[in-house]
Amino acid sequence: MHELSVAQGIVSAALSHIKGTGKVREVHVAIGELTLINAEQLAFAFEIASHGTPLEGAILETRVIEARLRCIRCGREGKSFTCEECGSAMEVLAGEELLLEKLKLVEGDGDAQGI
Amino acid sequence: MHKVSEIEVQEDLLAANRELAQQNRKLLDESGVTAIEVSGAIGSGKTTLIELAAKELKDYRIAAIAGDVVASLDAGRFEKLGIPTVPLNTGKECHLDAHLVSHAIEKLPLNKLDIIFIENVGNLICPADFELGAHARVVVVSVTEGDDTIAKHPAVFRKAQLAVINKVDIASYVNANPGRMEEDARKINPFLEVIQVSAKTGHNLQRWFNFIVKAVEDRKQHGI
Repeated sequence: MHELSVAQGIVSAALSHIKGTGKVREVHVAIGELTLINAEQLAFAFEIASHGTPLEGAILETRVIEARLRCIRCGREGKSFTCEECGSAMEVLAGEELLLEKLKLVEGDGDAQGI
Repeated sequence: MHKVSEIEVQEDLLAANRELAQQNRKLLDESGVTAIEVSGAIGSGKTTLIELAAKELKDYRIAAIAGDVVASLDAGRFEKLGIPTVPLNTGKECHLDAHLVSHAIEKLPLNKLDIIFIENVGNLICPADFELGAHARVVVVSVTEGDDTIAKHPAVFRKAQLAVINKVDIASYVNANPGRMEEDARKINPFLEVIQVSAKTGHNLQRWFNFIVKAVEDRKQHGI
């Protein structure tokens, strides 16, 4: 379980992108299906890691990036680690990412609701 | 009025670790050092297998980086062998990352070394997401973890070059079938070399040593 350190990484990366005085309301993250990061644990860890920072109170929105693998021999795409067609190895095309996608901010009254 | 704005970021946070891992690799290549990462569960035999290799491969100048959550018991075992050792306490962390390893590498006399063993924290899950920059990744499992442990933890085996199935001398006592473990490993990664060993009896240990020597030779051929 390394969600706390991953959450700390998200917080410091997000902070480096914030300009101006807006209040961050949402942090959007995409998690590759092949990583071993658990979205629910990450959201909880984010609450802790963002405490006392300008991200405190922001919601961590996560989505999953589906795994896509391609056989290195016959080119067949699939999700298993061994090609179902020819038994050869698969290379990963997608699913190993942890993407900080975007931040949503609200300018003005920091207590504004309903964005 | 509240103005809602969005900042597009699209930054891959794991990519930062991969880039650092590549920098580690470059430094090792330039120094003519082969790094071998050894991962595996607690008690699988990682430290023992490294100790045995350090004793056997006398022609090579060997060092060790020993990852531990707290304390430095493993590092102490390596120091007893008289090899340069960097203990790496991760604190709360369950895995080493490329950043931690880069600092450990800095502490070693690279121009006086041939092989660095990097022993990861005892864990079959978390290290999989974090490349360190080693030339070869080895995963050690023991039959005592249950013969379904490889099937349960595919990610770490997918990224390895060698799986060592240890403690095969006691497989029958713990109702484990090492053959099944080997089969599971090959299904996950057809390129994976799998060896069944007993660090205690010495069974097949020569194949572990051969893998290390081959990793050194491969790096010399392809490296700088």
